[in-house]
Amino acid sequence: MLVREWRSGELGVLLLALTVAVASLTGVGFLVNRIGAAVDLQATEVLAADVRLGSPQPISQASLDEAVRRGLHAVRSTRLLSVVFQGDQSQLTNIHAVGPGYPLRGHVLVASTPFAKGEAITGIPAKGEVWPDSRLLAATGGSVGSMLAIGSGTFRVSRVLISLPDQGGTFAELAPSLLMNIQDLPATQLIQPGSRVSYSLLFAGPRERIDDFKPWLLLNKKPAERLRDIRDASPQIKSATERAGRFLSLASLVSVLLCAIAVAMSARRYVHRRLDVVALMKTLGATSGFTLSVSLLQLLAIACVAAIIGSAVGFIAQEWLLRALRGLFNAELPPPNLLPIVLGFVTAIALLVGFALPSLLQLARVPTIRVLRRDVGPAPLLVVLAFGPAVAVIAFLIYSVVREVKLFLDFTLGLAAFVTLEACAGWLLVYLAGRLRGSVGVAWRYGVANLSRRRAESVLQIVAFGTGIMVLLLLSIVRNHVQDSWRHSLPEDLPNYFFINIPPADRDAFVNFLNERGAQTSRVLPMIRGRLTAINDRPIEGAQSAGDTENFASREQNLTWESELGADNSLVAGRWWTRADFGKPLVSLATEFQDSLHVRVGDRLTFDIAGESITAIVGSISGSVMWKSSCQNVTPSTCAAS
Amino acid sequence: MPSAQAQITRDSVLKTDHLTKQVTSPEGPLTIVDDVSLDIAAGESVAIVGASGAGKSTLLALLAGLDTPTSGKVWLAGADLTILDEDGRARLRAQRVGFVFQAFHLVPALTALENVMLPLELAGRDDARGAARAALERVGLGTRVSHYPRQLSGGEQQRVALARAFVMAPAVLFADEPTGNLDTTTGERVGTLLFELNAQTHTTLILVTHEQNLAARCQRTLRMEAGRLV
Repeated sequence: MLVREWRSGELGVLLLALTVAVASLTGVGFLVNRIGAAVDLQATEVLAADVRLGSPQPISQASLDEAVRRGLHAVRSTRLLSVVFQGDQSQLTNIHAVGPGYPLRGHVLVASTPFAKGEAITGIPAKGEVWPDSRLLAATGGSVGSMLAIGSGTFRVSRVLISLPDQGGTFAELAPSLLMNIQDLPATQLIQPGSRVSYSLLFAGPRERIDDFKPWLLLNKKPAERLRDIRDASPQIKSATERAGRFLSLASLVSVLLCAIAVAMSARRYVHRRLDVVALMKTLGATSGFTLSVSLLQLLAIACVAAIIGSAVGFIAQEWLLRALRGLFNAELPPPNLLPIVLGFVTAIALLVGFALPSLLQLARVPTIRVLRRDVGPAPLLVVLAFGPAVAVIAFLIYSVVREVKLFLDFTLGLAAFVTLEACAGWLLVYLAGRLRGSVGVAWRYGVANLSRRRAESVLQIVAFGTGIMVLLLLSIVRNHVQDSWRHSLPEDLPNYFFINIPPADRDAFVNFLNERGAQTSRVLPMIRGRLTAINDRPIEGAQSAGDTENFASREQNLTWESELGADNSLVAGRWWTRADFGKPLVSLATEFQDSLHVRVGDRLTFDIAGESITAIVGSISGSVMWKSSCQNVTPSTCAAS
Repeated sequence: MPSAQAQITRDSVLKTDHLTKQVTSPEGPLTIVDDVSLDIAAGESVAIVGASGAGKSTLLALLAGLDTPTSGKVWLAGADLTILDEDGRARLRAQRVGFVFQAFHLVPALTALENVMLPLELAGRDDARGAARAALERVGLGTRVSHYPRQLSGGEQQRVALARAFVMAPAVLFADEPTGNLDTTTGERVGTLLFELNAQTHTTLILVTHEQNLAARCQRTLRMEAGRLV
C-alpha cells in the first residue's frame, strides 16, 4: 500500500521534509559527537589515565590491589618540587617519579637533543637514569650524558624529555620537568616529614570496568584523596565544546522546526486528498482499525526511510564540514558513535507523531457516507488532540537541545507568545480581507473569498509560514548578535600574548625588547606562589568549597602585589589600600573565591609562601571585568599590599 | 401499517421497517427518508426512482449500511444493521455487498487491476490478482489491467468499477446512478453489462437511477417522493 501511495507523489514532500530535519540534526550530532570524543580522548591523555587518585599523603596499596583484581592497569606516580643541580648550576624542577607502565594514556615524547621534535617512547627511565626536559638542561647547562644531582642521588641524563601527557596545563606547573624511575626516589631522600609531595595512582582499562571501579574508589578513598576523571581534565575545553555544540544544535533545531511546519502542512494536504479514498475503502469493507494501522505503518515506514537517508546525508555533511575546517584540528577526529543515528530516528518519529499523526488519525474517522456526500467529513479533533502532540514534540526537541530549564522556558514561552500574536494578527487579516470582497476586482475577489471561506485554514497557514520565516530570521540575527556582542565585549587593547615567569633581573630588558618590536605592553605584574592554609586561624581542610574554585583551597595559587587597582578591576567590598596602609598585611580577594570560601572583609587568611607562614587581613573584594577571559587579570586571584 | 416486529421471509435479502432519516438544517429538522418499509427478495432487481432530492441516495446509503437511520430497522443479508457498529457494517459489506457509483470512485493511484483487487485484499483473499484479472477480462478490459484511471475513458472506468463490484460475487449490489456520468451510448453499454453480470451472479440489484429505460429493465420499481415510497 505504501508503494502505491508513493506513486501518488503526495508522500514525497512529507518524506523530504523529514529527511532534511533528520539530516540537519544528525549532521550536527555527528560533528559534536566526534569533537566531544576527541576532547575526551585528549582529556584522558591529560590525566595519563582514565581515572587518577591523588593525595598529599602516600596512597595505600589497597586501591592498587583492587584495581589489579578487577583487571585494570594501575601505576604509581609521585610528584614534587625540588632543586636539581648540574655542577654549580641549579634549577627548581617538577620531578615526576613514575612506575612501570606509565603513562596509561597518552605518550611521553623524548628526543636526543634539547628542543628537538619528540618521538613517542614506550617505557620509563631505567634505574639510575633521568629524562630532564629541554628547559632544565638549558638552565643547568646539561645535555644527554650529563649527571644531575637530585637530593642525595646522582643520575645520568639518558634522554631529553619533550613532553608528558599529564604535564599540567595550568599556570602553576611552570617549572621545568624531569622524569625519573619511582624506584630511584628513596635514594634522593627528598621525601622527609613535612615535604610537600603529590602522590597519585593512575588507573586505566575498559570503560565499563572503570565505571564499576569508580564507586569503589569513592567509597574507600581517604578524605585527603581526590578522584579525577575526564570531566576534571580540561574542563574549560569541555565546557567550550559543550557550549559550541549546543549552539550548533540550537541552529539545527531551527531547521527542524521549519521542517516540522512542512511536515504538518504536507500531512494535512495528504489527509485532505485521501478522505475520498479512505471513505471508499470503508465502503468496500475496511474497518477503522485497518485504516488506522495502515496509517501508522505508513508513518513508521516513512520515518525509517527518512532516518536512513537523513542520517546518511548528515554524515556526509559533517565529513564535508570537517574537511573544510581541517586547519582547526590538530589531529584526526575519532569516528562518531551511533547515537546521532538514534537521535535522527527519534526525531523522525517525534516529528511525525507531533505533526502528522493528528491529521492521519482523522482518516480513521472519515464517515463512509462521504462516498455519496462529499460535503461530509470527519469531525474536527479537539484542540488539545490536534495541537497537543505538536506542542509536546516541540518542547521535547527544544529541551533535548538546550538542556537548561531557564533557557528552555525562555525559548518556549517566547515561541508560544509569538505564535499567539501571529494567530491573532492572522485572524484579523483574514477578517479584514473578507470585508474587502465587495470593493476589489474579480480576480482578487476569488482569492479573498477563498481566504475568508476557509478562515481557520488560512490562519493556520499564516501562522505556519510566519513562524518559519521568524525562525530563519532569528538564526541570522542571533548569529550576528553573538558575534558582535562577543567582539564588543572585548576591549580594543585586549592582550593576546602573555609572558610568564620573567626573572626580576630581566624584567626591564624584556619589556624594552618587546616594546622595540612594536608590542604594546599592558601590565607587568610580579607573581609568587602561595598556598592558603587557614581562614581565621582555622585550617583550610575544614572550609567549605564548591565548584571550580575548590582548587583555591586545595593547591597553590598565584599571588601578586601592586599599589594601584587596575583599570579592569572594580571593588565590590572593602577599600583599596592607601599609602597609609603600606606595610600592613592586607589582601584583596577575587569575588569567585570569596563565594567559594565564604570569606568577608576583615577575615584573616594564612598563606604558606615558600615555606613561610604569612597571615593577612582581607581588605577588599575585587571583581575582575574579564576574569574568565583572562584580560589583564591574568593570574592573580589575590593582591597583597606591599 | 402497525409497527410490528418485521418478519424476514425465507428468501428476503433486504428488509426495512419504518426506516426514517432526519438531519438538522438551519431551517430546523429535515426528514430525508420518511417511514420506509420494504422487502426485497434474493436475486431480485429493484430500481428506486424519483426526482432529485427525493431521498433516493440517502435511502440507498441506509440500505447499504453507509449511514445510520434516525429510527427504524434495516436487515441486510440476515444482519440487523442498526445494532452493528461501523466496523461491523464494514465487515458485512466486505463479504456480502458490492457498489457501483455515479462518479466511478476508482483510486487514482492504483491501476485497473489494483482497483479490482482492493475488495479481495480487504477480504483477505489469496487469489486476489487472478480473480481481479478474470473480472477485468469479463468486462472486456483484459488488455488495460496496468492502466491508471486517468488513462481510461469514462465508460472504461465504470467497467472497472463493475468488475470491482462483481469480483466478490456479492449477495447485494447497490448501484447509485451508474450511468449518470456517461453519454447515452456508453451508458447503454454499461447498463447492459451491469444486467448481464447481475444475471450471471444471481446478485440482488438495488439500482438508484433517473433513467426510465434503465429502471424498466429491473423487475420492480419503487418510486420515492419527498422521502416516502409511493
